Amino acid sequence: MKKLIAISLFVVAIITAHVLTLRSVPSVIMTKAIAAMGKRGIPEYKFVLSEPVTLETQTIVRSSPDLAYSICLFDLSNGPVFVSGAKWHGYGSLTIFDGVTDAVYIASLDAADTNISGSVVLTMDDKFISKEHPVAILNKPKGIALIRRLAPSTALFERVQTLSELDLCSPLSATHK
Amino acid sequence: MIKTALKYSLFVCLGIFIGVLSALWMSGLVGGHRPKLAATVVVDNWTADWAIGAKGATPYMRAFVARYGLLALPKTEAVYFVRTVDDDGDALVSSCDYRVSGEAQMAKWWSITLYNDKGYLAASEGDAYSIDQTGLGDGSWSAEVSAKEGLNKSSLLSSKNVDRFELLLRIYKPDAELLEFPHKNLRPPSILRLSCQSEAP
Repeated sequence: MKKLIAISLFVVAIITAHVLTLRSVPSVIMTKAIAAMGKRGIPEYKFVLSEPVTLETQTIVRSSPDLAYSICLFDLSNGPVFVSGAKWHGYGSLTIFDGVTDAVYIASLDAADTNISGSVVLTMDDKFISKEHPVAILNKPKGIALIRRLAPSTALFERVQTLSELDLCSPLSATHK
Repeated sequence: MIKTALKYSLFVCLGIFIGVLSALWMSGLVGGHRPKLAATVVVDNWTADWAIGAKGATPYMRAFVARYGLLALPKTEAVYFVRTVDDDGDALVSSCDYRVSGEAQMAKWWSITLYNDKGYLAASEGDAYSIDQTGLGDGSWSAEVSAKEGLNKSSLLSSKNVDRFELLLRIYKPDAELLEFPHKNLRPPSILRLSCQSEAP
């Protein structure tokens, strides 16, 4: 009987630890990534255009040196957040990543895709309705809004620098009074 | 009684250890193992996984991507093909020069970037990190992979200061036909080994 109990405890411990570890890895990695970006000076509720990806500036594995990345860290604890990316003549996208690394919303910022909005309201309230913008419901308060724009040359990156000042990432109460 | 409780605790601790370790190993986070993925696409040794960035990916895949491809895009936005061997199946190494050649992809834009075996940009002179459609045009193209200096930057991938390396083909806004029938519609670049430095005496 004691042997059976010991084996049962052993098996249950393996399965429980295995499942909990698997489920927590994305969340742990995302939390660490958000904290690391914060330490690098990326504030909440503001898009920051990263330097061109080079040997010296890369911080994430397999970053593309052809893209200009604008990052905004957000926290929905105090209410919905409005995110908007300016259109770009070339490949461009706005992606919202939640606290477990899932891409919960993607919008094209390519000026050729005129029918697709580059704006979204982020909220944890599944009853929230917006007549003006798409709404993305998140399960966790913290996440990352990431804008990618194709800029394989210095000249294009400089154009992104100017354009990116139009990108918005702020509490909804501040932008829609 | 205490002896029995200690014995049970030992079994539980051992179980937790094995459970954690097996989860990390099966996710590719320890031990160098890459999880076997249901949506793997391999075309001429260029390997991609359509599950990257997808919500429906397995827990092992999600853990792997969180570690090695954080903030990756789903396949409708971009697909990523990795290649670590040349056309003869030998590992890509900086002591050899290669010619990479191919055609335009069925997509909005493509690029190929050289990373070291940890997935980071390799040390390279002149920022020759990648080649792309903008520099090489919309038709057939070829470029050189070399650790040598002074080559044309728009058609060079520098392998300087790395040992083994990988090439990552990014295809942005792939056509639906490419996503549906990748074996038929991907135009996989070839990687021909040109020459290698002789071994030191």
